[in-house]
Amino acid sequence: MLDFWFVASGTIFGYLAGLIPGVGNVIMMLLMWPLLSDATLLQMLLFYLGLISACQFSGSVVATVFGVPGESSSMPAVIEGNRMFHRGVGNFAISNAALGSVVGSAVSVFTVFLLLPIAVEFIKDFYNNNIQLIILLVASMSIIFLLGTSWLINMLVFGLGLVLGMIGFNHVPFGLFMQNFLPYETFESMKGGLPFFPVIASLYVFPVLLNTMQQSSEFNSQSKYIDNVNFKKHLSEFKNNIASSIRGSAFGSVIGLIPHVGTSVSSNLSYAIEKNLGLKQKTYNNNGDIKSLVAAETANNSTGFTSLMPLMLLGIPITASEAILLSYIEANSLTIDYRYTVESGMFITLALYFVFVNLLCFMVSWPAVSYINYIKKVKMNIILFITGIAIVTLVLYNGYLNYNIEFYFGVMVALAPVGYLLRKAEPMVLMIAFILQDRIVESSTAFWQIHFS
Amino acid sequence: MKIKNLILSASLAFTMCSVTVADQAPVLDVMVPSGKTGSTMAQSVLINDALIELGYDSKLVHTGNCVNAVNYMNNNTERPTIFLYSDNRYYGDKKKFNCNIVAKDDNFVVNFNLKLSTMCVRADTDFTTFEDFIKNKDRVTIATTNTLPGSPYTDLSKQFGVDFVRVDFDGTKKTTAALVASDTDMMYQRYTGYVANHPEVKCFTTSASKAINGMPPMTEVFPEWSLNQLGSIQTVMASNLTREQLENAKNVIIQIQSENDKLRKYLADSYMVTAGEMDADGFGLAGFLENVQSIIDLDAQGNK
Repeated sequence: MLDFWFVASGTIFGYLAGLIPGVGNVIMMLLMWPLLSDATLLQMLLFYLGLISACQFSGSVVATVFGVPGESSSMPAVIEGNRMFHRGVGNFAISNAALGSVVGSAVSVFTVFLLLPIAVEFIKDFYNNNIQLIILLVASMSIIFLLGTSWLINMLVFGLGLVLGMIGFNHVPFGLFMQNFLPYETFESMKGGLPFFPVIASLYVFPVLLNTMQQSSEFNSQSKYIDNVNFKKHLSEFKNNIASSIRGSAFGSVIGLIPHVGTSVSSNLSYAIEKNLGLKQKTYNNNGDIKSLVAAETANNSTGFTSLMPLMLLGIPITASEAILLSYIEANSLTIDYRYTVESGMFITLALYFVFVNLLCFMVSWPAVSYINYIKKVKMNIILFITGIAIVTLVLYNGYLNYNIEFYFGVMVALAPVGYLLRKAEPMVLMIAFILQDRIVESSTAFWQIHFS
Repeated sequence: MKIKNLILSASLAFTMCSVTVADQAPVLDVMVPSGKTGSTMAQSVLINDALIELGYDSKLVHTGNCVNAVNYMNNNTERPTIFLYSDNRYYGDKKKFNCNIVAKDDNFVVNFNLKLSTMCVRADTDFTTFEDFIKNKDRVTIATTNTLPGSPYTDLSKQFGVDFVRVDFDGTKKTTAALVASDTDMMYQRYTGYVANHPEVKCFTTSASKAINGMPPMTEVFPEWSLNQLGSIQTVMASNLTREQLENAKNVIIQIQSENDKLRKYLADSYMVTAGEMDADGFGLAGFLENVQSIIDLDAQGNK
C-alpha cells in the first residue's frame, strides 16, 4: 500500500512540476528529498516513474495553452499545439497528445520487455571496466555534443562539473584532490567534498529559474481553453492519427536507449520526421498540425521508460532527473543495477505501475485541463521565487542535518556567481558531470592501471 | 462531549506512553565512516538491525569518510554512537587526509574481528601451483582494495620475475566485480563471507598461519612476500559514551556477534576471529595499535 502512495505522490507532484515551465521534474525531484530520504529503491523508482510521466502530461498542456516550453521536449507542443489552440482546436491537441502518451508508454514497456533478456545476458557476459568506460565516454560525449548550442562551452562546463565533483576526498585514487592547491586547512569541511545540494542549488536551479523568469513574461493570457466535445469525438480524431502515434512510439523507444539523447531529441526528431512526411504527402497543416504533434508527444512518453534502462541495468543516469534520483539512491545506501531491478523481480512491478500511471494521468489530467485557465491568474514570478526559497531552505536543512550549516550556506553563496554565468549555458551538463565524476575517475584510473601502469 | 473527552484522554495517554517507552529505550547509533559497498557497511547494517531487535533506539548514520565522521562526532554531542574502523583506514585516513580519529581508552569499545587476507582468481581458472598460473605471463593485474597503502606487490614481482600490477577499486564488491568481469587476473582482498561464498571466485591462499578450507597459507605460496601474514583488524570505536556505556557496548557487541544468526554466519564463513575470542585473549586496544604500527612499518619499508 505504501508503494502505491509513492506512485500517487510522484504523479501529483509530477503534474504540478509540469505546470511550472522550466522548473519541471528536475527541481521537483530536488524538492522531494525529505519525502525520499527514507524510501526503499522500489519506492524511489515508483515515485520517479509517476513524476516523469505526469510531468510530461501537464507540461504539454502548458506548452499548448501558453506557448511556453516547459522543457526542450515540449517544443513541438509549443509550435503545433499552440497554433491549434489559437485556431480554437486546442482541446484536440491536448486529447490526442494524452492518448498518444498512453500508447507510447505501452509500446515502450513492450519494447523493453522484448530487449531485457538480451540486455541482461550481454551485461553479464561482457560488462567490464572497458565497456563501462566506453559507455561513460559515449554518455559524456553525447551530452557535450547534443545539448545546448555550443559543444565548446559544454565541454568547459562538463570539466567544471568534474573538478567540483573531485574536490575533497576521493575513494579512487584514495586521497585528497589537489591537496597542495586547495585551501583544505582553512576550510576543513572541504576535505569531505562539496555537498550535493548547495552545488546543484547554485549551479543548476539558480540558472534554470533565471531563464524561466525571462520566459514566463511571454505567457499568453488572451485566449481561454474551452472543450465542448465529447470523448467519442476525441477518440475518433485520435483514430485518424494512430499511425503517427505508432511511428512516434517506435522511434521514441529506440532513441530512449541512447545515453543522454533522451526525450528532447526523440520528441523533436519524431516531430521533424512526421512533419516531413506531412509535407511530402501534402497533409501538413501550417496552422497547427495534429499528426506531427501526436508523433512528438508519443515519442516523448515512450522514451521516458526506455531511457531508464541504463540506470536500472547499469546504474548510469542519462538525464538530469535520473542523476538526482541516483544520488538519492546512493545517499540511502542503496545500489541500483540489473541484479536489484531485474533479477529481484522488481522490474515487472515497475512496468505495470508505469502503464498504470500513464492511464491514471490520462484519466485525471485530461479533466483537470479545464482548470488551466486559473493558472493564468497566478503570477509566475511569485511561484518561481517561492521555488527558489524552498530550494535554499532545503540546502540549509540538509546543512543542519549534517551539522554543517555554515559550510552548506558558504558553498551555495560562493558558487552562485558561477550559476549566474551559467544561465546562458546548459546547466544539466554540469550536474551530470558532477554526479558521474566518481565513476568516470574510478573507471579511468582502473583502465590506466590495467593497461598502462 | 463525553466521547470527545474520552478520545482526547485516550490520545493523551497513548502519547505519554509512547514518549515514556521511547525514553526508556537506550540509544546507540551506528556510524559508517567509509564507502557504501564494502564489508564495513554490510556489518554496520547488521549491527544496527540487531541493536533495534534488542530494543535499542539505533540509527544508521552514513558519513562516508573520516572528515565527515569527525565533523559529525564534533557536532553530535548527545547520541551515543559506535562505528567500525579498520586498521588500514585508521592509517590511511591520517596519512592521506590528516584526519585523525585517535583510538584511546575512552573511545575504544572492543576489537570487532580479525580478518584474514586472501588471494583469489576466477572460479574457472585452473592451475595446480602458482608458478603454473603465471607461466607465460609477463604481467599480472591484481584488483586491490583502495585503502591498502603503498605498492604492496614489489616483493612478489622480485620473487617471481613477473610484473604484479595493483589496480584500485573501492570496497569488496567492486574489487570482486572487477575480478569476475576479467578486468584483472587476480584479487587481493579480505577473506569475507561475500568472497568465500561467491560462486565465480576461487580463493587459493590466505594469510592464516595454517591451511584453511583446503587453502595453504600465504607463507607457503608466497614465502618471500612481506605481507603474507598481514590480516586486518576491525575495531569498534565510540563517541559520546561514558566508561560504563563503553563496557555495556562491548558486552552488547559480543552478544550480538554470538547470537545474531547473520553476523555469526558472516564471521564463521570467513574464519574471522570474533570480538568475544579477542576480548577473552586480552587482545584489546594495544593489539589494534600494534597492527596499525605494522602497516606503518610496511609502508615505510619501501612498499610504496
